[in-house]
Amino acid sequence: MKTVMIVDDASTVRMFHKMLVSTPDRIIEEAENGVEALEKAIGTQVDLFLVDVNMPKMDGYRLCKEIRRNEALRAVPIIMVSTESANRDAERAYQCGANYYMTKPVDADMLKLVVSAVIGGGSNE
Amino acid sequence: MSELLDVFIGESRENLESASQELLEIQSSGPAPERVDKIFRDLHTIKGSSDLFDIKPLTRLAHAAEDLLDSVRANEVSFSNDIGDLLLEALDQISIWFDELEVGSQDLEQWQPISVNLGAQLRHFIDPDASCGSSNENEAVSSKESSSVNQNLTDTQRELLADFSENADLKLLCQTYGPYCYLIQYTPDEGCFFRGEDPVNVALTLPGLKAFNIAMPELDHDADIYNCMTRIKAIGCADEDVIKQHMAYYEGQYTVTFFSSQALSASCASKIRENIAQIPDETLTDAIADNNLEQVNSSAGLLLASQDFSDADCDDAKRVTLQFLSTASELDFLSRAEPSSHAETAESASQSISNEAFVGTDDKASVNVLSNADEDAPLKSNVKLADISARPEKILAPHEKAILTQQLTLLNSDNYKTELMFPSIAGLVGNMLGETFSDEDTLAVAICNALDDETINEQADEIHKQQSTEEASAETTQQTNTSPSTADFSEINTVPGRGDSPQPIKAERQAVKMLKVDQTKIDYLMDIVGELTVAKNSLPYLAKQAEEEGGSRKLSKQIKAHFSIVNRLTESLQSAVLQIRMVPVSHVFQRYPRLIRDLARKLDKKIELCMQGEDTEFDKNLIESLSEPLIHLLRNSIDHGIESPEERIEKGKPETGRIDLIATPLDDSVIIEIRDDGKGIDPNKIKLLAFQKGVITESQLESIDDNEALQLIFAAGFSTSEQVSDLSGRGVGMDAVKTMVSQAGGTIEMYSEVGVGTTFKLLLPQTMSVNRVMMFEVSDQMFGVGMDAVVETVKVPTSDIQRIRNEHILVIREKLIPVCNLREALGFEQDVDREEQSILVVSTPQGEFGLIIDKFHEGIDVIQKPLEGVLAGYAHFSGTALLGDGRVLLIINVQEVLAKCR
Repeated sequence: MKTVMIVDDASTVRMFHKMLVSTPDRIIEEAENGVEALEKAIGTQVDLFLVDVNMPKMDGYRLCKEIRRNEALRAVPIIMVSTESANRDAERAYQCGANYYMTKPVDADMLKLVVSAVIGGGSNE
Repeated sequence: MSELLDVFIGESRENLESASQELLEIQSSGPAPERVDKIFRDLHTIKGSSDLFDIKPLTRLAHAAEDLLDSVRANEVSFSNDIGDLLLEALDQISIWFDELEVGSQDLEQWQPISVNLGAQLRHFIDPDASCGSSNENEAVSSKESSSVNQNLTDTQRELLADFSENADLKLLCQTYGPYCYLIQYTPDEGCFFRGEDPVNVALTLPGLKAFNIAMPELDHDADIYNCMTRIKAIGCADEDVIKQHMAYYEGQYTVTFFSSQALSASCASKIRENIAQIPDETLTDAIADNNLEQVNSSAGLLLASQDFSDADCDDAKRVTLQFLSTASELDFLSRAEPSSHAETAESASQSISNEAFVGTDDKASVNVLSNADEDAPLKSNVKLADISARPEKILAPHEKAILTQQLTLLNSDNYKTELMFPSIAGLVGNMLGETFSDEDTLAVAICNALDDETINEQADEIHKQQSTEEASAETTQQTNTSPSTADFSEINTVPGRGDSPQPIKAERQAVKMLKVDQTKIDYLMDIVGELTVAKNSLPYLAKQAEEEGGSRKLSKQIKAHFSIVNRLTESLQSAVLQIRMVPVSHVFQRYPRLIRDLARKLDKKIELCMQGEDTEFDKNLIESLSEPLIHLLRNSIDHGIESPEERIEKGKPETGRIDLIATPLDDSVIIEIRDDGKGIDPNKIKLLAFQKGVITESQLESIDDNEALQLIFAAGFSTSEQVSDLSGRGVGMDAVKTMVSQAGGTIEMYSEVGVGTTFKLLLPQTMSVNRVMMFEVSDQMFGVGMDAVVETVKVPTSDIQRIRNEHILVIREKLIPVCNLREALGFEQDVDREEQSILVVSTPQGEFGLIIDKFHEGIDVIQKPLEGVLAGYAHFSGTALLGDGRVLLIINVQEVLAKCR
């Protein structure tokens, strides 16, 4: 069982991403912002973060930094998903510790593939 | 409608509401950064989500608004009321679109112009010059051209055409059929593939397309192959409108210039004549024989252009050339294009070319593509790039490669810090490749091996070098870091381990949150509870039956004991369900500041709205059904109540009018007051008007007091407005308000003092709960009346009822109570004289009344349902209820019945 945590303040987007990445062998956790994500993640097993950039309370960049600073979560890969297509945002995401950056709205198949590639499993292969 | 769309609309509506609230706040108290930020995020969310559903006009509008707010946030644009108004307009528009989406009646075509228009207006604030620049320019060009049709092309246009390809003007000319031609330069957005756009297809489907070519810059080896780097140019014949419509979604990504075909013809004429004379017949055949594409192409171009001169020989040659071109060079191109399956442009180009229909119908366009592709060095380099990526032994999917390449880039980046980034990268890559890594070197090598790319290998070497130099310094820092970081580690790890430690418990508590539930589910639950309430009522019947028929008092007692338990549980269940449906009145109130502001502006009045008790809770259905009447009352106050600023100053009142909207809980009810400090209502004027309109009789004119007169405005067919305005007097008067309020089970009253103001007071039940009803019998039929209206029940000798003037009066404890015979009022036959009469005394806003009935029954709990169908017209019944034994109980609307009595 792998756990994917979807962090996005828009419930529509969370639902959409959940639809895309959820498979029987995955547990999907959701969080509305960075603070909530960290609270939920600490003490549980998370295998992948799917993080939005623009969020209230704690945005995606800061969340990435916090995850990388946290000894327990450090090794968890992060995929950043943002509406901003500008390259500088991707650059910033990588600087903050994201492993991969995708622009919203994500290509459905691509997201599935990327998530499967990163944590394995998934129904598509 | 899909579930996802439902969620989207629900969420976006919340966003809209909060955004417009913040906007109003900003307008009244200035732009606070956090408010702007909140609105920005709201719009951002709407934009992002709408993109999921491919609702382009919506996305575009939200995007424009978001950009504007971004500029405001960055202090590039200062917030003005105009900006606020326009943003509100945009929010309204979006809200309207949501309405359409919800019912599924959306017409994106119609949305398009609205979106473009509003979007442009919004962007105008960001950059007043640039926003209109491109379109104005185009308009200028086209208008200039249309006014001087016969003139030659402008120099710029000629340059553009020459830039397109050498003989573009000729090619275009020989295929022109409309009065206008265009040349479009379309540079798709880099990220367009991620939005599912297909730029090549967009170009191919341009109306009246004649030829297009794709240019691609020299790509760096590390260029992101998923970005669109192409520039597309196309020429064709079509009107400006058509092209703009076609390209509507790609605003800002293209420039287009229009010119008349006559101008084109004039500028080409000499060129054609010169060239056509120079072509010896054998040139073409030679060229074909030599497979000299360039020669064939240029000859063909000239021949095509010479169409106007209709030379029979040329025609023959032309056909041959075309056939040759469309077969030979197509194959040639395809063979080159095939390996480049990852180079998106080439792929889509080849796809479209291999599309036979296209080649067949518009071979000239493809000729151009082919010849250009053939000459295009960048494309070849692209092919090379694709070749490389096709070589790896272990075949990686493009996305896997992209991920791996990214990890390598991360390892190589300036910001790379071993202790922060290595674990996740190593884990990720390890997971993908099925290996484990302990240091950067092996990791980088493994990635490179997997990618098996020489260029990347070179990169890796660089990393090695860099790292070996850095290693020494990194090691020292690592060592100093080791002890504290391990300490950290153990601390963090032990916390979740201990079950009683406060941290995880706290997190768990916070996780318990709001639950969004579809309202229909709650309504269903409510219905069931209602039926349960009714069903439990049958238990007392059963007890009675057991006692009377079965003769078992013991059983009867047991049933009664159980009834009390079931009764209690049902009641708790009921109040629990009702509690779920309770929402604060702010749910409805929050829409009003906006309304007041808009109306006040329209009427040039200054009005301040003060709301109190917004957190008073109310049943959701009820409060929503009240939204409309409240709006009506507010409109009335604004339209008729509050005077114009000048008038107010004259009267010595503050310039700004004030409307109070107050909600106060009172037992199981809520009082909502709408109070204005306007001119008030003159009861005498109302009386007179009511008389004129036949609402009251002449005798009433004298008898009713001021307070009663004021209530007359709720009578059907009454409107005090002498002049119907578009705000309030829209055919529905106060009677409609009253109907809606009483349907919700409430009452409405009005108080007014001339020159001081008017107050509307609504008394509403807090829930659409179960009503306690007093049952009674008239002419062998059961009726009910709401228990809260019942004052007392008395039995009096018939002789006690006296007749004064036209009314029956009963004196109870020295109080005069008018009496009404329900038999008469309900249209039953008059009863034979009785010695004793049963009187049900009820209270109404007009005082206490007595109702003569036949027999009293017990009080019961029922769920009152409104009358439906033909019965709905009977105002003297407020609803029906189902009894425990299956009978239907009609519940009397006391006020209406009394009105009929008198």
